[in-house]
Amino acid sequence: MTAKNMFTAMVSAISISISANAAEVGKAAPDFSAKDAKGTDVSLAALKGKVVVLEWVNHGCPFVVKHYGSKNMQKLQETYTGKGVVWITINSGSKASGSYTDDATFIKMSEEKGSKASHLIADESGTIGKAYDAKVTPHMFVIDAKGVLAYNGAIDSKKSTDVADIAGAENYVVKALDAVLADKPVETAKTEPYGCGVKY
Amino acid sequence: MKSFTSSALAGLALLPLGYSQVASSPHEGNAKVDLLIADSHYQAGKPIRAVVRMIYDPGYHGYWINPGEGGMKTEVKWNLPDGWSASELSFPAPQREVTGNLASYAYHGEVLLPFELTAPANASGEVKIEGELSWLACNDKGCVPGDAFLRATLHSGASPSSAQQEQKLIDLAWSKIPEKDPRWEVNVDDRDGSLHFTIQAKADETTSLEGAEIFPIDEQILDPATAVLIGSGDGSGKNFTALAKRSEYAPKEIASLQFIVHSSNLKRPILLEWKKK
Repeated sequence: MTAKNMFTAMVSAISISISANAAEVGKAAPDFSAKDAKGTDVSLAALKGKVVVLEWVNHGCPFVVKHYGSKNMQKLQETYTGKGVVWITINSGSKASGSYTDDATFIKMSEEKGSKASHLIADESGTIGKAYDAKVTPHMFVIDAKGVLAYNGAIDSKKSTDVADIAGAENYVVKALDAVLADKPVETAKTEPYGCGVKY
Repeated sequence: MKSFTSSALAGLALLPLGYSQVASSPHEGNAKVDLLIADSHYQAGKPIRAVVRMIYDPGYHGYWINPGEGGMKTEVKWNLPDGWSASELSFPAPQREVTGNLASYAYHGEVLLPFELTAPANASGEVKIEGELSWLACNDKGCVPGDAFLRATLHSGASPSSAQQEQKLIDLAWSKIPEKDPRWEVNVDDRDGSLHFTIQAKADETTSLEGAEIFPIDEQILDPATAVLIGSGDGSGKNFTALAKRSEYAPKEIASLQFIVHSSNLKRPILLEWKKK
């Protein structure tokens, strides 16, 4: 790591801050502020008025590969950012775990996969991940325009790595986003997420 | 079903060896897979016992029928001739595995998953049995999905010879599968975020369940992060108790629960079911 990169990483690590609230459906989502991989400031409080998706990622995880390899995740990102949703993809892998990606690598990997996320955040310290109790990749959260956590859980109902299972699965994120965007209650607001453990 | 030409698939051709059909797959998905069938010949309308044997690489684990947090159940998708059927894979007792912040029900090393193939009443001639086994193998660094192509050719009529070694392995596999036992009655009291188990022996039962562990077959009812160990209960040797934390994903009203009780003191794991009255 060059001295400049090291400085950038240090700034990135210390720039993440978080409120003390636990992530509980129906309550205010834990606030956080961080610099994204491109150096843009991202603050949940500043995004009030917009629906926000948090997606935990690790491109080495076969469950993530299922949803990116099939373009399922990219289609969701494209569809809902097109409706004004802010989509934040977060990697909380630590350097010690081997799952960490520096900002440049995170951007490159995401571009190669055709990600349409609004922001990428390398949460190397795990600060945001632990505030939300992000357990696996992909673990999905939907926050409504008032900043209230509306959905916490799996991307869909089929716990598998098989792309063929996507078509027949109930996509909980789609249902939650459609409900929130229509100002309706989310019927299935909490599910058990499936995937690889987040490597804090 | 996935194409069998997928590069992730391990070709698995079976060679008849007397009563058994055995094959080894190339090494994929951090596990070695063999298929053993008790007989190279079938009789119309009758079942044949078989086993999928998996050996996970050192440091890797695969998953039980209820994988717990993360993980994935091992499954097979069959492509069988008309009228043939295959039972679901049966699973022996797992062990609790904590990797990072996730708790799961898992296996290390060798695991034997028995099942039965049944020929229809009008079956005749040579038949080809095909299936695709899929699993997930994980260690503390990550997870690797595995697939193996299972294939066997079976012939009609009486068997020409026997292969006792494979028969023994198939018998061993079945002997470790949890079995219903009507000598035990279960009650579960769901209160204060916990499930309070009472397992009561009928008069003629003298086996102690003290120290045995409960593993829930139904997903998202019990929290896998905490082991559910059976205590001595009222000390009579007839009424045993255990306390389990509810899963944060459990429904408000839990209507039923299937679970197994396992310990090295028991001949085989006991399959029990509770239904709310």
